[in-house]
Amino acid sequence: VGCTARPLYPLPGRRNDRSKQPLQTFRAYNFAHRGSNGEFPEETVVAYMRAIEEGADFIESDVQATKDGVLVCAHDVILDDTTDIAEHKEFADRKTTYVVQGVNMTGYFIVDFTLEELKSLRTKQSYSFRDQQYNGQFPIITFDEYISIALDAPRVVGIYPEIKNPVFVNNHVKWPGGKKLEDKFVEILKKYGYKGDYMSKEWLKQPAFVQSFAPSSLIYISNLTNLPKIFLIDDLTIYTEDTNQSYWEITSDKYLNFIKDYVVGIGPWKDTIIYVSENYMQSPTDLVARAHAYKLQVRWAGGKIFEDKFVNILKKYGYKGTYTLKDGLKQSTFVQSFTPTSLIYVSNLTDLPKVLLIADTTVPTQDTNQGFHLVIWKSVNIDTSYSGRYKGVIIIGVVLCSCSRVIQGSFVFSV
Amino acid sequence: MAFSARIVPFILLLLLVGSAARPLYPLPGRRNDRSKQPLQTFRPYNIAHRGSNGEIPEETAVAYMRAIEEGTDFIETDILASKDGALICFHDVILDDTTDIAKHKEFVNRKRTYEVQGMNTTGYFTVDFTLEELKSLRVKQRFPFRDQQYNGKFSIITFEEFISVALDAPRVVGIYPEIKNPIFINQHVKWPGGKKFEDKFVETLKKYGYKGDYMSKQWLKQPAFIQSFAPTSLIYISNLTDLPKIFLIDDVSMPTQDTNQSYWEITSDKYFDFIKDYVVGIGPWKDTIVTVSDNYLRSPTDLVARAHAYNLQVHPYTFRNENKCLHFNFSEDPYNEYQYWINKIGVDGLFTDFTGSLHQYQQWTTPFSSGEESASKLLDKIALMISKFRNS
Repeated sequence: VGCTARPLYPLPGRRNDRSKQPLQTFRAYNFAHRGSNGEFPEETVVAYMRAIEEGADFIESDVQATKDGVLVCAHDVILDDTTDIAEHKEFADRKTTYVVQGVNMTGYFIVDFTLEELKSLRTKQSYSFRDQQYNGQFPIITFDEYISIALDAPRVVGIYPEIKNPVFVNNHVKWPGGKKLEDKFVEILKKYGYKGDYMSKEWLKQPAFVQSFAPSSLIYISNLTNLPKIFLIDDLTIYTEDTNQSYWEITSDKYLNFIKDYVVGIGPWKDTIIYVSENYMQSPTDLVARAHAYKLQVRWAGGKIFEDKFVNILKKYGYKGTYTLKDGLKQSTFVQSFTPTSLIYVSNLTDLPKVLLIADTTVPTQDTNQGFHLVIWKSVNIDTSYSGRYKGVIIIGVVLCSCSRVIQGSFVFSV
Repeated sequence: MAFSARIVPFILLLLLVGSAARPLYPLPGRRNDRSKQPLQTFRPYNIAHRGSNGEIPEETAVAYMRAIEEGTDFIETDILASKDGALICFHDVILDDTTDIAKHKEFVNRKRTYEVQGMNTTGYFTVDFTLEELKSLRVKQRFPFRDQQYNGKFSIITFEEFISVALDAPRVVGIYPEIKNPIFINQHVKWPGGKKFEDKFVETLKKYGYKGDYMSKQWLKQPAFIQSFAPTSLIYISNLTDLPKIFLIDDVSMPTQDTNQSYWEITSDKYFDFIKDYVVGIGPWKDTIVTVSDNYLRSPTDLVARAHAYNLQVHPYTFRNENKCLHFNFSEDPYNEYQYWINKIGVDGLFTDFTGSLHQYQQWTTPFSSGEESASKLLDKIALMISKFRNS
């Protein structure tokens, strides 16, 4: 116990000569939120073991820090709702008020207790309508202990830890050498062998997602680990704790385009994806569609993107060559897209002719956010001679998909 | 899927008012040249307890139509009587909890206290109102934690209107009416010719062609179970109809209202041996089949085993999705509960407030067969599935 736990070794009782049943990746992931906390007090050993027993793909946790810098699994910054702290007279004087994400909060804060003190507490079920019979039985666990549960499972079970309240924790807890919560967090992951891009061989052996509400933490650790990261998004009225950005800003196309280089996905509150009125769900918003458009949560190994795979398949079947009207057209192909950046990207991979599709006059490009008129005039290099090599996009295709507008003849080159 | 009240067509029912309803004829819009999809009989019955009353106020036309839409096998109801002898679908002897009676100033002096099954009950009794007066009331959702948006919209329906909802369904849907509080009703309501509640009940069923032994051809065309807590009523009507009957059994502390027999007596082997000649099954309260302590189910009793030994079906009541109605064993998962009762305990039918949930569960675990009768057709299908993988 303490931040220097002894190394884990595989238990003799577990058969180490067989490979474990791998993570399923063909259907939506089942994340055990704080363990099987519908049945057991959240974030305890039993809750996680039960979740694994029940078939979870990943066990999820929130990671914070104690006064003496140990990383523990706990959701709330205070101990009041999920532990028997109120019964511990010896800690009665630790009650205090701090500002957490701009709001005054009063209670017993984890950052004011050492690990040894926290371990003397016992957790309880925070929802009164859930089973209370396990109250007072289980302690808080450390990040190390949580990881050991996952590694000890009889099949491959992923972990999904959150860098929780990093701004608050880093204000209150200091580590030697100027290290921060994010550094210690990644250190522990590395210590137990967690690494690798999403869906890489290493990742599939020990799957992990790192999640946080604080984008700067995710960007910071992207230099420390290539494990896939998930950007959590709170309710409509809440601002990010580190960058003070609104919901609307962090879910805008521009922001998704920015953050997609650091994270593989987003974790929103479901009532912001589909609004609720009078306890009925209304029509869905476009958040999921737009996130998917930025290929959030679709990634290939080796850092390849959609355009790479696209061209690979064309090459595999022998599609190549510049646009020509001579020699007949043997394997004639045009590559089309609404996104100019994709076309420009693939122009380095293939010299097949490309066609830039243009939607209605009111629709900006999904990648460069350029309006109709700008696309026609500015972003495209056009060479109208039909011989020689062509770089970039050579033909513009105007898609009359809305059928309600006739494009003026002067700038249509080919349809 | 969110159900919208805006698409509910209850116009047909508004046309049928009063106990002397005109005869029903098949609607031209419904295809009468085809046979309806028959009742399923290969898996336990899905019985919509008071209609889909998890979503819509109980025992209304809409609640029943919603239940049929959601896939129920039988729509269930409780039959009581009005002052002028009309048979109505209503569960409580009083109107207070499920209607807007409190808002009707014209009826304020009808409040009474009567003895019902040995207990004094105060309220507005259905037996003190004519059908016309009952029809002026509007029904509301009994439980505050359920959707309140349909309160004040729908009226009480008659036994005949209930039957017409079943007969109008696009597939064969059975009915499961209860002879409710017959002792009390017969005390307060008198019919001409010395007829009793039970007589009028069976008359109504016969009028609409409900007859036949359990699983007979006639029964399968218009399935029905008659249920009651009062054994004498069931025995009495066994002379009037051969429709299958179900003997309902209350909690362990409640004696029968007519014969004053205890739970232990009416669930004894001796009694099963006696009652089996009159009923095809029993309908117990589910917490008497498996005892409960600290909100956990403990070991099952032998009630189901013994009933089955006497060839008595078991249809326990009532299954509800709400967390407060699910014991902790089920992790707030109603499917878990259905799994336990259908597969572990082996019941033959379930009274549920959420017929859609039960239907989904049954469709996912024991779906209707796709009609793949012949073995060679099945082999062809398998070969097709495998061939996709051969070249990849």
